[in-house]
Amino acid sequence: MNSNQIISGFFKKGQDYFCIRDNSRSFEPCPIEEIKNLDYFHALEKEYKHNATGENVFRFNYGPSTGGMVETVDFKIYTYGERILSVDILPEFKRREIKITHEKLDNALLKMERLNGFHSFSYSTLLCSSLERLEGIGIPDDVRVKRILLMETERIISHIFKTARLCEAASQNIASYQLLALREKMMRSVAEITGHRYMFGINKIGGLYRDFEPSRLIQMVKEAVREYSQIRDGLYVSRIFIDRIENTCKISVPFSRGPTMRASGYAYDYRKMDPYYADLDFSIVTENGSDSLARFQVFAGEIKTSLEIMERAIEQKNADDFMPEPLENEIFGVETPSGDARMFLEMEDNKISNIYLRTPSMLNLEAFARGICGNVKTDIPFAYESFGIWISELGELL
Amino acid sequence: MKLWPINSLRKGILTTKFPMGKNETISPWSTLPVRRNDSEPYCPVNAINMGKVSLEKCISCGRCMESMEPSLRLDNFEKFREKPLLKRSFKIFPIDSGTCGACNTELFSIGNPYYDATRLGIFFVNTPKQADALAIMGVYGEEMESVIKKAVEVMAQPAVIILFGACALSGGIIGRGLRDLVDPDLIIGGCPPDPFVILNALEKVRGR
Repeated sequence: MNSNQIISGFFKKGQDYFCIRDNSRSFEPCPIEEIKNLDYFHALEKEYKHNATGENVFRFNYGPSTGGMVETVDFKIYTYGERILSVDILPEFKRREIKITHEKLDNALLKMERLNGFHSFSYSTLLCSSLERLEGIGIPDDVRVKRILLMETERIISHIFKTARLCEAASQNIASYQLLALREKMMRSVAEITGHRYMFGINKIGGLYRDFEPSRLIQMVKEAVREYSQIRDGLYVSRIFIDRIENTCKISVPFSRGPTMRASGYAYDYRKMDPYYADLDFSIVTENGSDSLARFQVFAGEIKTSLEIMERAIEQKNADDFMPEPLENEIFGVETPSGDARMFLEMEDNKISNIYLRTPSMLNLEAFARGICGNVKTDIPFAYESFGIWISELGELL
Repeated sequence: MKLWPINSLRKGILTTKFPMGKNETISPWSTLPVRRNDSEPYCPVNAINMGKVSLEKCISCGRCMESMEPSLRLDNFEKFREKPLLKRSFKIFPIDSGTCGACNTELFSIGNPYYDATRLGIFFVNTPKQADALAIMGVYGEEMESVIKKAVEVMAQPAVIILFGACALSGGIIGRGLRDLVDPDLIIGGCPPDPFVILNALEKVRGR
């Protein structure tokens, strides 16, 4: 399948349905029958049920609130022993309803930050840049550059955390603790530079609430990337680690998002289309293994790329304001650390009247559910961690 | 494979001396803000009343920065249990009722080498049956009500119930809190709470 034609989301406006395609920044009308025919349609509706039947097949429950998982999620595993035949995933235990429409825009921004606290800056930038574009608000180029710096820092912190979780699940405890210490060091520096460990409260429609000195951030990230490279090199020569994650949860589907998709050889990264990154040349990191090892390799490659992007962004800062040309039927987007999030917005009386958001975890959860089939139950934790899924992203925006 | 021990030795001891020593850092806006001038502060969740900030409501957004500044204090918690208990070992089971993910990762942060909560006898366990304390995070969710009640029910006594983060305490800016669902022994404010505040609060509720 051509990944250019992938429908990665859909929404209803009036009586008509519209779809979002990869490699397009505009939404287009689409008959609902075409959308319903997608074999991952139920994932776009946030349903992940794949029950299996057969002789001696039974359902094994893991969740909703159990050790080993960071968030609340319930797995119903169909098996006749050790091997997983199929899995139902029930994310609705912690499904939140977040009211964004007809709210004060600044409150909507605070809520958007808390859709996924771990990737809060990416989501707050998505809302800010969308509203700025819709309302024709220009921002100083300095603000664009600082937003890029913080989004890339967030990506690096997220990839380090995912690698640490992957190591923990694969019993590489020393590596895991060294990575968690590295993440903590970065979080402390971020708190010192921006005022908050999770970058809450920094973004503002049309600017930033709290300014910061970019050179300190770049220096901190450079040191962190150097330290990460040492740990990564140690993991690459660990036969135990490589054997454990190689061929685990192999999945190659173009509807998966972000590092999961790129680990299957699909060179799609929303940053290539994002006006924020228009002048920043960088290579998309891809691998062909489609397994947990390939996803780990993509994390490692992207950490290096993020630092390069940050350095280039500083060098290429303009004196002019940043205000990209608005598009007709524009669908907004951002490449979060887990993949692209796409958003449709409508405004009325200076408030959001209609919103649709397709987050990367909506599709990556389906990719995980398919990829884990045929693996054994003990593979679940590190397979899951390699997808970078956040259940919080499956909340309803109202 | 000599790399791991050599790297570990090179890094030296990272672990804080807290609570015996002073905390090295703190996330500024995760602490309760205090007055910096007389101008009327703005708060999107009405957490400021007569100049006093409610630890239950404050969402650490810093929108009050024109008239307030971070206190950098570690007292962003309140305990409702006077009798000290579980001084030797304290096993925690976290429950996520409806978080954004930040409270979850911040609670687990106390296990990283910088804080190393195990040196204080604080551990995470995989089931509420083994736990001395439940740390409940996030906003109220209908589906989670029975899960939380069941977890409280199966715990051995004495048990400590902790409500963790602004969402669990008041609903924050997202929804409804959990105060009417459980009776907490300890509440910890912040969005999310800083790891040093978490350690301080846990030590205090144990009476240490």
